[in-house]
This record gives sequence, C-alpha cells and structure tokens, in this order.
Amino acid sequence: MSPRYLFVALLCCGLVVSCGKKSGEKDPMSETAVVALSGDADNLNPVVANSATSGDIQGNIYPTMFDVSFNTREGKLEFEPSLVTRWEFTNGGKDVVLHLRPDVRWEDGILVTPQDIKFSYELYGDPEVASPRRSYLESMIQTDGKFDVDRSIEIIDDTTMVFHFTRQYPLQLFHLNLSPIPRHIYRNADRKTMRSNPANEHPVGAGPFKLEEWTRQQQIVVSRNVNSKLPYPAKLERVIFRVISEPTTRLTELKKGAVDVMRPVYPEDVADIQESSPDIKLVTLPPRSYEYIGWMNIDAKEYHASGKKTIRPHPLFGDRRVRQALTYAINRKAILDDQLGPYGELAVTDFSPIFRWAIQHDLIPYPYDPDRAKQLLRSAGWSDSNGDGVLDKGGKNFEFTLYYNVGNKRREYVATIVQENLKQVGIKVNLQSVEPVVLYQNIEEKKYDAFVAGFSVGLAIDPSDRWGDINSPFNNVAFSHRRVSELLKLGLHVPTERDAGPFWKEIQSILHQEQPCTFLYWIKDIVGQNRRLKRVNINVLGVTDHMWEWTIGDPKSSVTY
Amino acid sequence: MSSATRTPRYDVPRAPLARAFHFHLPGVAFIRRGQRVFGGMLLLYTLAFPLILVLAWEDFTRAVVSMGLSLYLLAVDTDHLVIFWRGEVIEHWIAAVVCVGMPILLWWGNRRALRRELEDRDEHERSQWALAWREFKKSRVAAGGLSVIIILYTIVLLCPFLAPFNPNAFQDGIVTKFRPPLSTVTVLHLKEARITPMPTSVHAARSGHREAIRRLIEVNRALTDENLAFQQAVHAFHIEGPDVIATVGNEAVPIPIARLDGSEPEEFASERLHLLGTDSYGRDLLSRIIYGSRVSLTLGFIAVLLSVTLGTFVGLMAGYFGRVTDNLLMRIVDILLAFPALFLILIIIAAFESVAVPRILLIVVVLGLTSWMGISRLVRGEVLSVKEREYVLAAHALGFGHARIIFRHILPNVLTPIIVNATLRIGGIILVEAALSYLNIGVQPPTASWGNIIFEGKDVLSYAWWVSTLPGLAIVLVVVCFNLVGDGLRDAFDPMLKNERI
Amino acid sequence: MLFGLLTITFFIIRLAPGDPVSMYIQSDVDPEYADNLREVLGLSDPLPVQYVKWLKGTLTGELGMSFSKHAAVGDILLETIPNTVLLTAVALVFNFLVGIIIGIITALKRGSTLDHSVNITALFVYSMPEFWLGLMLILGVSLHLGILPASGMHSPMAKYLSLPAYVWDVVEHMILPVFVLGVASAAATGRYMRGSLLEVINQDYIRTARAKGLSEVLVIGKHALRNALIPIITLLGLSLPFLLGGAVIVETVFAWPGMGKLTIDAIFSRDYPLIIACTMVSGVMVILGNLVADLLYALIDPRIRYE
Repeated sequence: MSPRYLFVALLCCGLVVSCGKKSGEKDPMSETAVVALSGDADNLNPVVANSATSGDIQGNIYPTMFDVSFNTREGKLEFEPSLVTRWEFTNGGKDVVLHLRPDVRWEDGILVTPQDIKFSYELYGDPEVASPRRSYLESMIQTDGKFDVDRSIEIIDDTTMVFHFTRQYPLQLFHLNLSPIPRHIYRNADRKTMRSNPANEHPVGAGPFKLEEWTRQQQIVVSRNVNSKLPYPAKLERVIFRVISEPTTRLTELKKGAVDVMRPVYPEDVADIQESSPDIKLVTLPPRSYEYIGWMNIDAKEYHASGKKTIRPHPLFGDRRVRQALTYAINRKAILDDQLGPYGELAVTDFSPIFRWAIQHDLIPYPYDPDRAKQLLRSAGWSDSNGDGVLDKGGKNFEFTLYYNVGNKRREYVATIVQENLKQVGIKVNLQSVEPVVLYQNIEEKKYDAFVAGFSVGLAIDPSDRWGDINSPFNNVAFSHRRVSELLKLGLHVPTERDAGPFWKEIQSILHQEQPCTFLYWIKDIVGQNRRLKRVNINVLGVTDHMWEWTIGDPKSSVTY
Repeated sequence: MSSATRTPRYDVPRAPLARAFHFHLPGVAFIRRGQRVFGGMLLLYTLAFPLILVLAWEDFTRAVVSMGLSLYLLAVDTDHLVIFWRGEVIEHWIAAVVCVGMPILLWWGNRRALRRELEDRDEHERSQWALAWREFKKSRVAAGGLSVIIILYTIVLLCPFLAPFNPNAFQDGIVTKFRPPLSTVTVLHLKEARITPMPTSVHAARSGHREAIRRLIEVNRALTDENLAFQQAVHAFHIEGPDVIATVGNEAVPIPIARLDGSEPEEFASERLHLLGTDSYGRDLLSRIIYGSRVSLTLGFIAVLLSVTLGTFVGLMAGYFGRVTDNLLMRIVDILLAFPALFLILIIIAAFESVAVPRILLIVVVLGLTSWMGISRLVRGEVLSVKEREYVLAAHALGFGHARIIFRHILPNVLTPIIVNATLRIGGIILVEAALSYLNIGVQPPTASWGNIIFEGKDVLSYAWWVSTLPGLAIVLVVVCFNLVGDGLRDAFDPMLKNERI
Repeated sequence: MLFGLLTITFFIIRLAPGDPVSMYIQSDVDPEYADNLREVLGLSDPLPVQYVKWLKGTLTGELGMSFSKHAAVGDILLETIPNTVLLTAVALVFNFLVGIIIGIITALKRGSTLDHSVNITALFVYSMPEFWLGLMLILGVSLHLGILPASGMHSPMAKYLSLPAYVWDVVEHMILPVFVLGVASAAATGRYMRGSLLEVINQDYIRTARAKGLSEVLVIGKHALRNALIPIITLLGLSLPFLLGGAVIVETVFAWPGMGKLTIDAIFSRDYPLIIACTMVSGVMVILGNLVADLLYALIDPRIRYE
C-alpha cells in the first residue's frame, strides 16, 4: 500500500494508455465488415449444422453446387453454375447429369472431385450421422428404407456424375445443392460423433472465404480465400461475425458503426434509426416466415395414451366451427398494426406471398368479428350455463393454456392479445412461456393443445411437411384432410413448378375453410446495414448471400458499383 | 439513555371534543405530547383510508354487495361457487375489508394503548421489544423507511382501489402504446359496448335464487370489467357532417355521431390521464407498478419467511444438538454457500420449469430454499452461546423436553438477530426476483411484477425510457427502505444486547 | 465439499423434465436413430450408472462433450474461464480499493456532509438491480455520450493491434462491466470498512500512539489501518460467490464472453456436461478465493500462523 508502488503503477497505466493512443497504424477495419449475430453458430460442418447462423457462415466457406438466387418477380428459385458448370435431365427427368469444374481446389490444395460429393451425400443420408437435411435425399433411390448412395449416385469420370431419382419433381436441383465437404479429411471420421469431430473446428472449404478464427460466444472471423475459384476470392479482406445477444446492445453497436450488418432490426426501432443514423440503410426483405396459433385438431391425450393409434377430434378444437370462431375472435389486424405495421401482412394461409403465381387471390382474410365468433361457438354447443363468464359444454369449461417461447416479445404480445380477445367471447386462456428447447420439442411431439409458433417456408413450395398426414414432420396441429393429401401428391409430381398452381390454390381454399390453425401474419424482416458497405445484396436468401462481392467505401459517396 | 425511557405523565384534555380527538383519532395524542412527525404520519395514515373509501366509493359498494350476495348464496346453495370464487373478485373483497377494518384496528389499538398508559405502568415492566421500538424511533431515516414499507404493504392490500386502471386491460394499442408520463389519451365514449357482453343462461336454468345470482353476476362483472368496452381511443378526431372522423394510427375511421354518447365533443370525448405513461400494449404503467408491488413485495416476504424458518430450524438443530448433527448440517451449509446462489437458483428453476406448478410458486420456493444458509449459521452461533446460560441449564435440570427447551427458552433469545437479518434479506430477494425476470425466468406475464415490467421495457429504452426506469426506481426505493429499517433495527437491538451482557 | 456440490447439481439437472436429444434431430428421424444418438450422448443408461460414469470422467479430467456446442467441455471452458476470471478479479480489486478508500474517508470525516452523502449514495447503489444499472449505463454513457464501448471484451480487430493498444482496448471495454459488477460490493465494503476503522480508532493503543505524538498519517496508516483491514479480509472470501453470481447478469448485459453467459446458454439448452462443469469451476473458484482470504489473513494478522 505504499504510495511509491501506487505511483509506479499509475505510471505504467499512463504509459500503456499513451502508447495505445499513439499507434497510428493503418486502420484494420478499412477492409473488414462486421455482422452482428444474436447467437453463436452451433457447428460449421454443413452436414450436421443446424442453426441459421451456421448456414449464413458455412455457405461462404464451403463450395456450393449452384449459385442460387431467388427471382422475386417470378417467385421462383434460379440456378446458375458454380461448382456445377452445366446440368441436364435425362431418363424422363429422373436422372440428373452434373458436369463439374475441374479446377476447384480445397484450401489445402487438393482438387474437389466427384468422390468428395458422393462421400458428402453419403454422410447427409447416413442415419448414424442424423443430418438435419437427410430428408433432401428422400426421392433418391432407397434400399430397405435407407438412402442407397451407390445406386443413387454414379460417377462417370472426373468431371461428370449422375444422380438417380425415383421421380421427376420441381425440387430436384434444390435437393442437389447440398455443400460437399472434403473426403480426405472426413474419410475415417466416426459417423456417430460427426457433430463433435475436431475437424469441424477448422473447416477446409473452397469458397470465397476461409475460417480464420472462431472464439465461442464472441466472434467468428472469416477472411479472403485467395485461391478460391467459386466464383473468385472475396473482395473484402475479412468479415467478422460478432455474437451479441442483448438487443439493446446490438442496436447501440449498429448505431455507433461498430457493427455493419444486423438482423433483425425491430420495426419499433426503425423511426429512431432513420432519424438519428443517416449512415444506416434499412433493407426490408420479402416475407418468408409467418407466425400462427396452433390449435391441436385431434385429442392429443387419447392419441398418446393409445400409442399414436386413436385419432379422435379434440374436445375443444376438433370442431371446424370452433377454429373459425377463434380466428374471428382474435384481432389479428390489431396485432399486425401494433407489432409490424408496414413490415408485415395478414396471413391467409401458409403459402408465402412471394410465390405470386401460386396464390389464391379470391380468399378474404377472416375479419375481427367477435359477434360472429360467439354465434359460431353457440352453434357448436358452447354457452355459459353456470355464470362464471366462461363458456362450457357438457360440464367442461372452455379453458386452455397457450404456450409461447420465452424471450420472444412479439409472440408474448400475440399471446397476451389472444388472452384478452378470447376473454371477450367467454374463453379462458392461461399463458405459459417456455424455454425454446422445451417448447419446440413439445410442439413437435404434439403435446400442446394451443401454442404460438412461427414457420419459415422454403424457397420452393412444398407444403407436404406440414399438411401431408398426421405424422408429417411439421404438422404440429395434427390436421388431416383427404383432399389436401390428394392435392399434395398431384402438386409434387408435376414436371415443372408452374404446373402445380391449380393444386396449390385448391389447398389454400381448403385451409382457409378449415383453419387448422389461426394464421396471423407474414413477417418482412428488416436488416440494418451501414452505408460504408457497398455492393451488398441482402435478399430473401439471407444476409450473407453473395458476401464475396461486398466492398467498403466512403459512407457519404453515392457511387453505385 | 436510561433517563429517556421514563414515561412522563401526560394530561388528558378536559374539553369533550378535544378528549374525543385524543382518544378516538390515532395520532392526535402523539402530536399533543410533542411527537409531531410520528403523530402526524399516523393521523394521515388513518385518515387515508376513509379518503380512499370515498374516492373508490363505487367499487367499494360493489365489492360489499358482491360479498354480501356471495355469502348469501354460500349459505343457501353451494352450487354457485364458480361465480365468485375468482381472484379478481376476492381481491376487491379484501381491499374493501381492509379499507374499513384498518382504521378500526388503528382506532382500537390507539385507544387501548392510551388507556393503558393512564393506568400508570412502570418502566421496568416494558418488554425488550418496547425498548427496541423506542430506540428504533429515534433514528429518523429508519423510521422513515419503515413508514414507506408500511405504506407499500398497505398499497398491496388496496391495489384494486388505488390503481387508476385495470393493469392488464388494453385496447387500441396503436393509439395508446408508449405514452410518456403525464400524457393523456383522447377517448371517444360510445353508446353501446364495442363487444356485446357474453350472455349467460344460468339464471334461466335454475329457479330459487335466480335474482340473487343475476345480481351477483352483474356486480362481479362490473367489478372486474375493464370499463374499456364503451371507449374508443383515438389520436385525434374532427367532425364532418353526421360523422366523427377519428384518426387511429394512419387510418381515418368514420364513426356516426349517433353511435357516440352525446352530440357535442365535450360530451362524447374526454382525456384519459396516464400519470406514469403506458407500456408497449398501452397499459397504464402506474396501475401495473401498483399491482406489480403485490407480486414483488409478497414474494419477497414469503420467500424470506420460508428461508428464515428453514434457516432457524437448521441452525437450532445444529447448535442445540451439536456433535454429529452439527457437523453434518454445517457441512451441507458450507457446500451450498460455496455455490454462487444465482447459479443454484437458475439451475433449479430452469430444470423444474415445465413441471405443472405456477411459476410464481416455484420462484418463491426456490428463493426460499436457496437463501437459508446464512441464517442457519447465524442462529447456530447464537444458540451455542445461549445454551450455556443458567436458565437453559436450569431447564435441563428440571427435565424439560428438548422441544420445550428449544422453543420456549432458546428461540426467543436468538430472535433479534434473526429479525434484523430477515429485514435486510427481503431487499436482496426482491433484487433476485428482478434479476430472474431479466433472465426471462421470472413471474409469468401478463401478471405484473416489477422485474418483468423492467424486462418488458429494456429493449425500448432508447425511446420509451419510462417503462424500465420507473419500476427500477420503485425497486431501488423499496430495497433502500428495507436496508434502512434493517440497519435501524440492528442499532436498536444492539445497545440493549450490550446492556444485557453487563 | 466440491464433491457434494457436484452431486447436487448432477441430480437436479438429470431429474428435470425435457429431452436434450430432440434438439439435434428433426422429428421425421426414426426413433431408433434418436435412441442411437441418446446412446452416443450417454443418456440411455440408468441414472446411477450415468452418475458413476460421469464421476469417473470428472475425476480423470475428462469433462465430456458439450451437447449444444459440439465441442469438448474442457476446451470451451478454457476459452471462457480466463475472461470471467479477469472480469471478476478486476471487479474484486475495484471493490476493495474503492471500498477501503471510501471507508477510510468516511470514517475520518465521520458526521460531515461528505460522510452522509457518501453513505446515502452507497445505500442507493447497493439497492440497485445490477442489470438495470448496466442498461442505464449503456444507454447514458455508451449511447448518449458515446465514450465507452457497450459490449464485448475487445474490439473485433483487436488482435491486429500492437500490445499496448490491445491492452488499452480491453481496458476500455472493461470499465463499464467492472463498474457495474464491483460497485455494489464496493459500497458494502465501504460501509464495513468505516465501521471497522471507527472501532479501531477508539481503542486504547491508538490513543497511546497519538499520545506518543506520532503524526496522524502514521497513526492511521500504520496502526489503525492494519487492524481495521483484518475483518475486511473475511469479506473477500464472502464476496466471491456474490461476484460470480453477478457476473452471470453482467456478462449477459455487456456480452462479455465469459462463463456466466455460457452457463445461462447451457442451462437453457439443457447442456448437462457444460452446466455441471460450469458449476464445478465456480465452486472451485469460490473455494480458492476462501483459501486466498485465509492466506491473506495470516499475512496481515501476525497472530495467526499456519503450520
């Protein structure tokens, strides 16, 4: 505690400070973009990665088969050459021949070969690996219910390979766009522990960027891969993905210019940003995800008790009139206006407005009409016979618990409004927020009678994962309808996407009539981007689409490249 | 110090009116004998109840009618419990009872105390508690803190009468949300409810007490109704021919004047004042903070009660029985103390969250169960010193049972440090509840608690600072008060403990 | 002791409802593959077996794989522990430095306006929710004044900076979190120190020292302070669990890449091995802290000697 030591310590501090200020090196940020993330990536191996963050990052590290873009005007995906230079359909569309570039090399200098691709597809399809994208291979050739890699994929020579499908369908190219990983690195890897393979920490790719550093919970740094041929090395020296989970902090960093790209910006922050930060450009994305309130259509208790055999209508929501009444009783417009304003639109069904050609435009969204709701409920046999202000039927009150995920402000708002709105028509709603992990698990296992959730649709129409049958992976409300199943089969087996239009439109009419769940609204995500970043093409495919073209310039300059 | 404890005789006024005031109005006697601040506060506190009663007269009469009808129905026919056995109804009853009962209690207590004083008791009969109270009152800040706490707990009981609006009711969010403090919202009054109330067939179905049931349903609905059904909040409005054009958000909504309650703007429009502004739903923040105090304060109180009971029990056992029991219990205490408490709380709450127990209960139990260790250490120490005293040894010699010795002879003598510690702890527990809300595992919304109001407002701090800031200040105020009272109590008990040792 | 701590954690976590496997697979995957995954993750054994396995692993330093991060728990911890240690250590120093200084000043000037205002401020600071204070500071200092960074541990490009610049960068990022984390305990320490010093000053030997004609600085600095510090050392051990708990909140608010944040994430993703490891590490830190406090005790108080 002697003052002498204190003095020395102070001196040292001062020295450090002055040195820090003086060092006038070239600003390393002049060639670096910073993207803010709300959560860390789980894995950078495309075979097993599951988080959206991972998708954004690994797409720029690993080679892509095609250069995919989404034509907003047409509402369809377009495929341009990347690793695959050209492709043709043979055998009535069942076989796809891919011609590969001969000159693409992994970061370590080894050529990317058809063997790499075949090996990667084998991993994607291996049940032991349990890849989240295993369903992509379902229409290729299966043996004993398992993906048969040798019969599905045929290597002709060093630049040609053939994929055999069991049928022709519009999504074939989409399903052929899984990123390959280097065979020479993963060849001897244990399949069961693929997720924790140490090689995942140091991905060897061939894309325009390569991983430079990954500090958990902090940042993922990718830098230019000078040897990349897909399509060329990134123009930026480096892109840093920073993990900032606290929204206020994230927004502060964007405003201060410490972060260049941030998603999502909340609609209520828009006015403030526009006013206070002219350097920040806000990009609105087309609606790809919607939120809905799921009503369990079948008696889930019976269903689980009988080992998933007994299928009976749900005592509350099994009746179509009740589901319609619920939609009438919920003021969806108010939720939309309050929460999203111009950054959302009322959802009629779960067919995204981005697929203009497939939308049934005649359907009129259910208006907010509590009186109509009461009528429908009465016709379904519900009335308040004991004076407690809650509807009842056969001695049972119309009361249920609505689940939503913790920490999602908008869904909490929805839940709160639903509780208020339904109280007006005599339905008692209890709210319960649940951690996301538990919530999604229980939703998927059909354990919740009512829940608020969201869904992000793929860029090619495929509703079969929701409405196929009761066991479809995302049919969380156990809705089944014979005509819908038929239409799905018809729609998915047409030669080109457009031919399915009439089938999709009919499905929408049925969904509108049946209201398997109450569709709330489509969300147009807002991305905040600092204007110093140029040639940014933030679109419906994601924030980092074509990230290799990004450059940095003076924020004031209005030059467009 | 000791000279101050002598009770001087006070004269009782002769004039009948003054005499009545002296005996029947709590506080007057204190003012007369010079304790102005204390007396004045007591008087104001007493008078506040009738004032609230007058201001909330409508709700009060409804609550009384509701209570009367419910009791009647309960007596004649138990089938209709569902009509009134609801939290929102019962909280009104409690408020009504407190509103009447509290002043009566104060009056009675005051009169009794004054009468006793007249009977001329000697100072050495005064208990340890009275001495401490005298000591405590000397510290102005501590007494101030205690008054604030008493007022807050009174608010907890009276919140249905005090909150200007229903804390969970909202409508026209686009108009009413994020209003800053002291702002007003323009509302149009409608002739008919926007949503027709739900019909009920109960009085048609049953004979006998049909009329009573009908009245009860009506009264309860009036009690719990948000009173919003006849209102339409608007940004602005102007009259155009037979319509009023109301601006709601970016839209202009025409409303026929015929549908409004009155024909002139003065009749059908009014301003609704939000003293502390509104939140993201357009709910009144003041009402939410008032209702939130109920959760935060009772939660803190019950959790501390739980932890103190458990901690005292363990401490008594360890200290009294010693040896193996002591070793074992204190080892457990050591282990749990080495755990950052928040980790333990988080783990337990996250793990048992999906169990079908109301979250609020889970939080109370977990907070109670994770904060008893300090108290048990403290109690053990005290017990070790007390159990060697003569009276305890004497009790042993007389062959009293363990239970009797522990609870009759030891416990009362270790009570003071426990009380001091408990007071200091409540503040801490309130802070932990807020932290849990911040980590999103607090009290389930829409039930308001101070923690979850702050949490709701934290993302909008940059443009709606009041939502998070004001309940934050409320927390700071309460915790400061508890700390002040705790310090005051410690100082009050301390000199006495020293005296005893001499 | 540590062992008891871990056992408690293990059983609380494992007995809780919620299946961690469903996170990694889509629901269209056959149940048998899910079982397979469960087996790989060691979740299909009966609980006591899991316990013994896990205990064996822990004792041999094998902490297992993190479910949610797809990496070895040991590696993840090695990345985050230093950050938390840095944060809490600096906060601890801040706590005692500021606390002791405040204590000395208020004790020497007792009864003055300064004493009262410091006491009141300390009381308010002590009564503030940490996350609230943090948010207010981010809003005020970082956003409105724009002087300090709001989040993270260093600026993204820090590793390309020269060493002194790097240190300065980290220091800049540390100011707000350390302040928030340390200020409440500093207020408590200050009040404690004040009481302790006042007690010492009134004792006979100080009076003797004064009577000998020693200068006031020497009396306070050499005789009084040393004795007043002894009870403060006990606080050191006690405040560590408090600080580590606070670090959970502070790290979340300021996006500090430490163990607290990691624990929260782990708890919410039901990452058993990670939760247990985090708990263990925090327990070890607390125990080490107490050990250090004991050693300091011996250093300052010559009456205590350890063999």
